[in-house]
Amino acid sequence: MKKIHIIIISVITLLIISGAFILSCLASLHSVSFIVKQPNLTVSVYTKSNKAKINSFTSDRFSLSLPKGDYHYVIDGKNIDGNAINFNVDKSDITINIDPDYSSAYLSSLLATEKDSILSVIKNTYPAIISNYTISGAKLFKKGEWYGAVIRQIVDPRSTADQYRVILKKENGKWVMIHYPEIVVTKINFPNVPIEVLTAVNDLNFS
Amino acid sequence: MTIRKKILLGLLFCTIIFGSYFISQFLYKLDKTLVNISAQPDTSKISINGSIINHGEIYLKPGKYQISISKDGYYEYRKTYEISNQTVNISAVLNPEPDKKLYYLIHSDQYNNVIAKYPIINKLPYDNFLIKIDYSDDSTLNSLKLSVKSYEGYRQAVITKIKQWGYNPAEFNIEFKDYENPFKL
Repeated sequence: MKKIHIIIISVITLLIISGAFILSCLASLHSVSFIVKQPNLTVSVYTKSNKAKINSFTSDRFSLSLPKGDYHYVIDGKNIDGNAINFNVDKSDITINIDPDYSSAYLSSLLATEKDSILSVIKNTYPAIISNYTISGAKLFKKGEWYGAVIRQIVDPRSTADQYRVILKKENGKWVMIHYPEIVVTKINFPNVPIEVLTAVNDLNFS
Repeated sequence: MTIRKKILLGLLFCTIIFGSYFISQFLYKLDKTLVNISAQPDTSKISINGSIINHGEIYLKPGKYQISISKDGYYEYRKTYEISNQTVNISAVLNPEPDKKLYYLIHSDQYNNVIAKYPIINKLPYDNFLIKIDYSDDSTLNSLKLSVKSYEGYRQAVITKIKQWGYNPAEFNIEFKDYENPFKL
């Protein structure tokens, strides 16, 4: 075999290996589409391993081509909790919907303005018995449309009383009690309430 | 050997392989009748005279055959067929059995399936004098209901207990015994 033939075969082999390598790199990239459902938010995407910032965007739609791996994004906006949210790129393209809940601080401030109308709904629903009960641990959830609290009967300090959990929803500007209070709120007796709200309401403490 | 000869030899080899396959198939089907068996659910187990077949299509020699179609949770379909020389189409829709009570499943060979679906059962029954937690008598594999017996003022302890076990109380159907909700309208 002539020297020129060896060189040609070597070059072709090198080109094939390089091409295969480039193709495998391209194949390992997946499109990650972000759809932001609220205005005025800044979303920053980071690698999870070394927290290196990959990109940051403010538009309502944004796409990145990312290799397989673990990542997180942080949302920055008014009245939003800026917690890191993890996501993973594996075998296919993914779409991430960004619709963050309000921050705890903002929900607390909203509760202060909504409290009276919520309490009046509860009192009007149970006028005969509510005077014997105390409402405590109240919180708003999600975007302020869900309310949860603990209700306990007023008893002698030496006695104990069951704690009931109440959930209201704001529908068309009005607070509505969607189910009577229960000791445990579950997806069986509150099927239309998001599981995160049910979990958080079960975690409320009577103070 | 020239390239032309190699190609010809390759073609001859392929022809022999494919030809043998088609001839053997032809000979296999020669004195047999096609029987098509379809079943719902399509993951049902089909057996002919006790031998399980992998596919719903089979060639059988004329004669009497007992065909059985079964699946866990469904009533078995079993019928004897007289197969002649004409193609036979058998179609069966299995009827589901009523839900078996969890108690019987736990005390049967279904135990591992029950625990895989409801690992919380490993913690039951729980009794600490103030609160008793168990699965209710009417629980089935499709519907687990936790039965809680406690005293006034201690019933909410079920939330803490289920959380301690690593589960979310909001995911369960929980029924309190000897109790009436004062807020139930």
